[in-house]
Amino acid sequence: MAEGADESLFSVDLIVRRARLEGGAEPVDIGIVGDRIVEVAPRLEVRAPKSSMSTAAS
Amino acid sequence: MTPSLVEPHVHLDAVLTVGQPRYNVTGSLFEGIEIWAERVQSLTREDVKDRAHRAIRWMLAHGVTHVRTHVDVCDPNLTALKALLEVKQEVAPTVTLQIVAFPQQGIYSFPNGEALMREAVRLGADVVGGIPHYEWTREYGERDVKFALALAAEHGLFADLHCDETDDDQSRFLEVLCAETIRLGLQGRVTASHTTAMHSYNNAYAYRLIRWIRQAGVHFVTNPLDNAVLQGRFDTYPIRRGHTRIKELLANGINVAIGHDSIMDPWYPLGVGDPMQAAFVLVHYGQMSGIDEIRELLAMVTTRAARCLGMDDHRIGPQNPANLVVFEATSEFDAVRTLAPRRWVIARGRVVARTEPSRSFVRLGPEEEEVHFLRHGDR
Repeated sequence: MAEGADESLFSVDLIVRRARLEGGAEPVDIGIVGDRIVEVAPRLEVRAPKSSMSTAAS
Repeated sequence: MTPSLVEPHVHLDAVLTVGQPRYNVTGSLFEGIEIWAERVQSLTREDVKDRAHRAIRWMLAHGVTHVRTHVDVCDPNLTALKALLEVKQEVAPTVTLQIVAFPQQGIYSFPNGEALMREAVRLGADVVGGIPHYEWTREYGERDVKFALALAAEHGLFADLHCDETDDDQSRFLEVLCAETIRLGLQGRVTASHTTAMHSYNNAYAYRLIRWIRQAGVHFVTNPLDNAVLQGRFDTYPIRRGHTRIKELLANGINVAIGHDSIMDPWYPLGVGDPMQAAFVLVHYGQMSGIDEIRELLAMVTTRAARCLGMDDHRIGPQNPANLVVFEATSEFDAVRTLAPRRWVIARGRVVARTEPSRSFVRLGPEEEEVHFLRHGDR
């Protein structure tokens, strides 16, 4: 993920917030553009995505 | 969250036909094949497509975005194959289908078997199948394997054979499959499905065989739902479990995946198209109740199954396809234990399925309280 303030903002189509992966201790955010995952990180700062979902139970 | 589920072994041409024209009374594989041979007589394109579409929707709701389906090509008209090739195109934006040309009655024990297999490939089958243990003779069985792999090599296709699906410890076509895989340079492109006879092989032979399997890079698909009910039917007591040697294969670095196989057909009357049900059964029949083994089961319905289909990038990571499933569970353990609902399914970056979890309430005192089926503190 790029460093810096504004430059760090991702443009994504869909962001999945707080997903707990197999074997992962801490939840992560997953950014998706088109049909691809573009980033997996503990906390993604993104420009307003087309859609966003929080996996509250996971 | 996991990568989306991958179904490496199902028979979409036969789904939802249980009881047509009659139920399997003995519960054996062979009565199932006889009943299917009767049902095939009334197959139509619309019949196959309607049932396949329905089952694909069931699977998608459970998180399955990629499916390898076998289709019986022991039919001079190849009705089911043509129907499923249409279905493949119709669901392609969301669900990826791989179609296996599967000779249910045998390549050499059914009239024009070789020609039908070649025609199936010409029409667009993605994978070449086989069924050596069902051929009339040992020699026919060897030819079955050799023909299937040669056809796959000739056309640059994958091969996935029903192999040694019997309790007969003398059924030993897997060694032929491995030898031909190595000879033709097909390492990593061949899958052996079922291989239940391995359960009954003597340990010395199994040890030798596993060395060839490693060298051949053959993938394995175990089908715990069907084989839990089909195998051991000729035993009195003790009754063998009849699954392949899953733990030994995994311990030797060999890829093993879980298949659902049948969904309400002559071989297995139940099922809702959920690979997690098959994984749950394997906990018991495969004695995979260790905590690490339970975690491995999730890989066997996701990443390991994907490798059978040639998908090596089916993982959650940057640049990989966005095919994901969110379970209504806080751990792999609870996902298996509770057969957790698939809250959301994402295919190619789009949310394509969602499930609203059911809620349960009890009343022991004056107030109704909700039950979550979790230990206190696990939520």
